[in-house]
Amino acid sequence: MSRRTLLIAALLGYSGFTLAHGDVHERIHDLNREIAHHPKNADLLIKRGQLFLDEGHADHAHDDLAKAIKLAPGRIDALFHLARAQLVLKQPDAALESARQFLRQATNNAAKARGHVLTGDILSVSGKPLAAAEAYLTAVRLSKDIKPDHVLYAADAFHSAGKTDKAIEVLNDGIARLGPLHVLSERALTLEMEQQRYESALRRVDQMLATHQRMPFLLYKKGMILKALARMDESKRTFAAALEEIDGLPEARKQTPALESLRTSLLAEMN
Amino acid sequence: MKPSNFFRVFSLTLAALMATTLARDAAALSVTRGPYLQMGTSSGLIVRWRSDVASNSRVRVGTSPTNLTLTFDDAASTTEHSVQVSGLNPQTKYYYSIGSTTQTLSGGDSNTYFHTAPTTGTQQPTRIWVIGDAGTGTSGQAAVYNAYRNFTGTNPTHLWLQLGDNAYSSGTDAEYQSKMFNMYPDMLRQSVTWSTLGNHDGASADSGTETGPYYDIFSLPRNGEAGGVASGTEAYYSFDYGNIHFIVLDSHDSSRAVGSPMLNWLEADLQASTADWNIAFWHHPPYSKGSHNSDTETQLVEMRQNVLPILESYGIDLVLTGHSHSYERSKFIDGHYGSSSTFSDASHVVQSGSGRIDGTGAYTKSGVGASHAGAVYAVAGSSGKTSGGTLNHPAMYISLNELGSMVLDVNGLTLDAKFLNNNGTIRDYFTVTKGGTPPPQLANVSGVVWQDVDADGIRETGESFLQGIEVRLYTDTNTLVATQSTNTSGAYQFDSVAAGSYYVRFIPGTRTLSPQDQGGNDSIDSDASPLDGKTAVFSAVAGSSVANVDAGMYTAGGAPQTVQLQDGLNAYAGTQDTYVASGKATTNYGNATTVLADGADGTNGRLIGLMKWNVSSIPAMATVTNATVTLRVSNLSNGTYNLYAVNTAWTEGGATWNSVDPLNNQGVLIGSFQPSATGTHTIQLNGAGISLVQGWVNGAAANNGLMIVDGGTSDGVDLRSSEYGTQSQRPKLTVTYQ
Repeated sequence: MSRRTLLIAALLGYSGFTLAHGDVHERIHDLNREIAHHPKNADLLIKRGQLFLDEGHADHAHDDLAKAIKLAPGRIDALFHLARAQLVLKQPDAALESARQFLRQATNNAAKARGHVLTGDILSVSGKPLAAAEAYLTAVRLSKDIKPDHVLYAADAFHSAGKTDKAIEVLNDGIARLGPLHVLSERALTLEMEQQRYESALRRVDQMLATHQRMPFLLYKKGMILKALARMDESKRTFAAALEEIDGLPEARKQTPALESLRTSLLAEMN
Repeated sequence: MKPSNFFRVFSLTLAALMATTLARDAAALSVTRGPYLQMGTSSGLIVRWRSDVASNSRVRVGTSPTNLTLTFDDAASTTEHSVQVSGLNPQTKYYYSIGSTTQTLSGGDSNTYFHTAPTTGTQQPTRIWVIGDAGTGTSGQAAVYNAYRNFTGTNPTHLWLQLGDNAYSSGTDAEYQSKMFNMYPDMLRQSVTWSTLGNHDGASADSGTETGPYYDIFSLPRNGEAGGVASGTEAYYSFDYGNIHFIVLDSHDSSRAVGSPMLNWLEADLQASTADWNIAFWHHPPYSKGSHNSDTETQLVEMRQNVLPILESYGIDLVLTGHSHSYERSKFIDGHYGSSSTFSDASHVVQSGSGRIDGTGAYTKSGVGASHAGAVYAVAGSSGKTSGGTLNHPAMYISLNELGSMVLDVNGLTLDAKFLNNNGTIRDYFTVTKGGTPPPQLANVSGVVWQDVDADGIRETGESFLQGIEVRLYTDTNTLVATQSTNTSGAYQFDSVAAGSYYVRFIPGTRTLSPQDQGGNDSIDSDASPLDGKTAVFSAVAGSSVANVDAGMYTAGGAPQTVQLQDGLNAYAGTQDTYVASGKATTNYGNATTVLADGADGTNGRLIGLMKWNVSSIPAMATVTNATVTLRVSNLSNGTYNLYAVNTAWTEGGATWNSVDPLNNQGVLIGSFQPSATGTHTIQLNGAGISLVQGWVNGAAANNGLMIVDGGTSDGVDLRSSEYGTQSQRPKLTVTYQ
């Protein structure tokens, strides 16, 4: 299972639409009363459906949203949330159909991008990483301000599909548009190491070091790359430089788990 | 289409286009939003505003309001102005103005300024105002704001954090206008604000595509422009201010999963932080039993389970959230990621107690960046309304169903936090210190002086504050420690005095001190003896703020008097009124029987009304305690109309648009009204308005009267002038004084 697939459950909380004041239970209770008086009010059903989704009651959400769509076929937000509910209910085919209906009716690029991200999520769960990757890429292409999250989703999906070169290409395109973000560069670095593309990885880690951020962590990565390239002296010097960076930190900060673990790894490499 | 028809249609279209263009050229350019400040750093910031008509943009900056020597332009024609100001010095107060290359629209005065941040990494006293779920547009929201403004007085607010749900109920542009921009004009003008996305903001915004009003309104650092590791998105980001690193997460609309991009970025960002303090904020609280339940709601559970382990691993100090409309402040805790039933003091409290220096002592961390060394989690979501709840989360030290906001003061390795309610009372406070540094053994003493109109020794609604009253702080052994004068809000504050026993002495001058300790409510009574102006001796414990050391005063022998200034009433003939028109810039309307205000009159362009009254019948020594303006509306379009001071001299028979130049001579806002029907409207002047009238009376301010300006719409209002036949419908200024 890809890392992306593991993220899906968390993404189910994704909501671009409003939630009202007050405790969710109370809101649902209030909406129950309102819907009892206005059983054909699609807006109320959509609101309650969203609340049910956030509360983890996807079955109730599904019922409300499906009813809302019948009452108000033009409310594509109901379609979007229905697809989410169907995904939680492990009905990927139905979810895909709902998402595609949403996409057919979406009128602006922002909504379409959102629909493609959801489609990518559904396809990931369906074991179709390549199609998922294309959906995420489409979302990236449609977004005026692309979000690094979507670049990473696309890259992870390509990687899951065995297309690591394409994954790196997607990350490089993302870096070209967004700048040398650590989250994108780190992922590309990991994939390059996995592909044993050490020279490329070395250039990348040097670019990251130029930001002068996270120096001990990045120097350790550089040392590991140099070691893989059998440039042992440079590797040792780089590890030593990483240790010096740690030594320069305030005493309490040195004791964070991440830095203690890093220090242990560096000392092991030095010996 | 036949050729003849084609040419007819073409000609008509062309004519219409030309008319539209000409109308636009003729329309006056004015500010309808802002200015407001974004992405502040030690060398600059972004100044944003909205205008009614597209133009290019110019910001002028300088260290004196009358000498704005630096100019920053953007040539693009737009109504949404955003100008990057750069190359400034750290930790410096700058004044500024906004406008176009041909016109100054706002600023260039003592009220329009900002402070640049200190150099990153340096330790400078920093005041931070924190509000959550504020955007209700209610009097409660205004009360929270006013309580803070009174509390902070002339102390600058270096940072202003908004914890989401800034504009109910759907975060639309119109809701932002009425519930943020119209609510906090001075704060927006003077302090950089940083925000996180709330669920109600998210109703009309989307983090995935960074679209919608929230993302349009805020300029947030996606590329590490203000420090921190670049996130590549405005949905989550970080920034530095002096020795503080702020981390802003999106708990609503970005994945909160372990291994998600936001959490990967968070870890990278924390790895890069070298700040003394790490403070994080987002919308959904990890611990709450207010109007939301952190045991059951997805976003809250995930933020607790997935985000907190990372933050605590890297030594987070303080986490601020909203969503629940209450104030809930945790104990000093670590490592609690389960439901509330699994919390235990023995397992999760790092250091017991209140965190109060005058109580069980400050929370103390061993050093900067110490891992799992304890943090405080605060829900501050009651800045616009309260919504109750069981308020019994066991992680909380205190839970309050009260309106209010938080005030943070970071000074070196000490962080002081307070919850200030809507009445100005500090309802909770705590301190965190680091590196074994002993907390400073200092205290603050503060209070107000007010005009006690009825001389009963109790401060009542409508009684104004007194500026310029001398206040002395003495030790209990009669050593003078410090002297201050009250500010425009009647407030004084002795900061950082050594812990000890003191009394305060108020110097009333020609006034008489009110009776002492009346009514049993210390927050509104007078604490000074009428005999010698001295309060009782009180104890100022280290780290505490001794507030409400107040004094009421009145003018002896002078019962409050009210005078009505209206032409024809009691033979008064001192009103001057007229209006000026941008489309007829050299025309005077002094003889008109109406005074007009209109954003875009079809014929005459923008219209602005002018009024002033001769106040010489009021004794120059009088203290003005209230002032209202009564106007008779004869025709209207719905909308808001604002009253401003006029910063230039004018006469009824000579005023024209060109001679008054009203948009460049618009002073402080003194009142507003929203007529929904014709008839008489009485406008209560605000504190600035009462001070202005006081200035007219005692000669401290030139009596240039007031101007009536549309609220940024094209709506218009017709008012009876002093030339109108029916005496009772003429403009009236009513002044109460002692």
